[in-house]
Amino acid sequence: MRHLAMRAEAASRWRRLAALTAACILLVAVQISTARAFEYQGEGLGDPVAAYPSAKAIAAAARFLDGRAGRTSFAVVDSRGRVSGVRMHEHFQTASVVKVMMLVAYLQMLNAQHRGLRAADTSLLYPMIHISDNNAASAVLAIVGEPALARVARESGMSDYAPGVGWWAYTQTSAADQARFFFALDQLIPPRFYGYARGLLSGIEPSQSWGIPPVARPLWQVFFKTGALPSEGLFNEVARLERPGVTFTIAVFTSGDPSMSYGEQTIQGVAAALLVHTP
Amino acid sequence: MIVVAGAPAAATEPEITASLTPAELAYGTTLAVTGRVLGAGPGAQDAPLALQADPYPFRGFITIARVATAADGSFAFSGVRPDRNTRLRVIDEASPAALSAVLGVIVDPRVAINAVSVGRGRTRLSLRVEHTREGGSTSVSAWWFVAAAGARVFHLVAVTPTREISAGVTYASATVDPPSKRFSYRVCFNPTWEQAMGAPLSHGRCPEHDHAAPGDAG
Repeated sequence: MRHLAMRAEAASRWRRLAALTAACILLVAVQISTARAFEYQGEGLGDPVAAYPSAKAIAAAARFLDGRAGRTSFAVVDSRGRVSGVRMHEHFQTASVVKVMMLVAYLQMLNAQHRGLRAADTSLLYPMIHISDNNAASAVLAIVGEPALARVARESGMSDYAPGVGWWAYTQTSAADQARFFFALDQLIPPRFYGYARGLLSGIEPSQSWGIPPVARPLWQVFFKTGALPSEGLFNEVARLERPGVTFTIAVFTSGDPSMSYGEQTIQGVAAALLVHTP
Repeated sequence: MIVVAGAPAAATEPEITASLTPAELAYGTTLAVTGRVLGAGPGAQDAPLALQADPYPFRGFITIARVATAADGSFAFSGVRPDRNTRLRVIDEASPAALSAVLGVIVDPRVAINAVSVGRGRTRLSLRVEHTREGGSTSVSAWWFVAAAGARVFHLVAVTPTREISAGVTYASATVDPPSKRFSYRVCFNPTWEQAMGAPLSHGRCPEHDHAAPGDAG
């Protein structure tokens, strides 16, 4: 008798569970009415991680930048992938910042050719990034071709890119474009070369490591590139900062700076305002 | 419900009307085919009818059930459980030229999706699909998108492989950082059996990028 009662109770529990399951199916597995494929939509609850840097920190960086001389802009892609900044679509010359686009184009080319890195490749890529060697950059651009840079620009969603007239350092870009580009590096660089690229971009020699790295290290891993056209007082920097579970990017562009140290201080000040609190 | 009549047969042949309830159903559920044999005179009672099915990929009809008509010529095949898109027809076995029109049945996969918060910044989304075994079930990609409450743009947040956890049951999951406390999510996949199930409009490619909710574009 007790056995039968237990069986009845189990059956009842199963029916309740089945009914609950059926209710869940009806509630959550709604095929999208305009679906072009087997595509379903539901509602969820969660506990999101706050975006980093905070809106408050970005506002502080903007206030700092507005107090600086010359023409300036900056953009941040926060840890949730949202873009914000100041005058972030204003056009600037890339100077050496464009070398990272060349690096990506070159590694994509190798991947398309199904070949690995050879000495001839690294003898160009390493100096181009490590000491920002201009001759190596010209050689890389001659190999990949300008259309490859335009493709990288398209793939990373740039809207302000234009090829340089007369010299690659005059390539047109914006802070928003470069911040987006650095945020997408892990998607743009073929996986087999991603570790190599990260090594290059985080191991740049000290004389080229001004601006963001001194502010962010050692709490953050910094993957970055600086650019300068001193005759125009132009100093730029783009960086991808990573800690476990948090990745964001910063692009700061300046021109008309009275000196290089002034440009460096502008970029450092923006980084310091953004990094005032560590996640 | 779809009600159709067969093409008029020869003068001596009865006419068979038939309908489906429902015409589109979820995998594992049943439908009924009901109708009437008309113009058969007094012989309408006990006419031997066969229900024939031609399941995807539609290579031909086979008989799957038999009934006899009632006194008024009506008939009903109940508990019909197609496992994929299928064409059905009713035939009078005593007058093989008497056929109903072909009735198309759409069978949708039976889908359950779920979102469970497993900690700060981590919500596990899951998809469980019961489906036909026709067409195989090799692993494909499931594309996961999320949108914050009130937002209309769905962001691609994960691409994960599907796996068949038992015959005819496919599962996929992804752990994502939710965009807000309340959020919407979408999952899309192109299974190897997709041609065998669902409406033709659902046989397109999944979006592979962020996208606005269709119909909401301003």
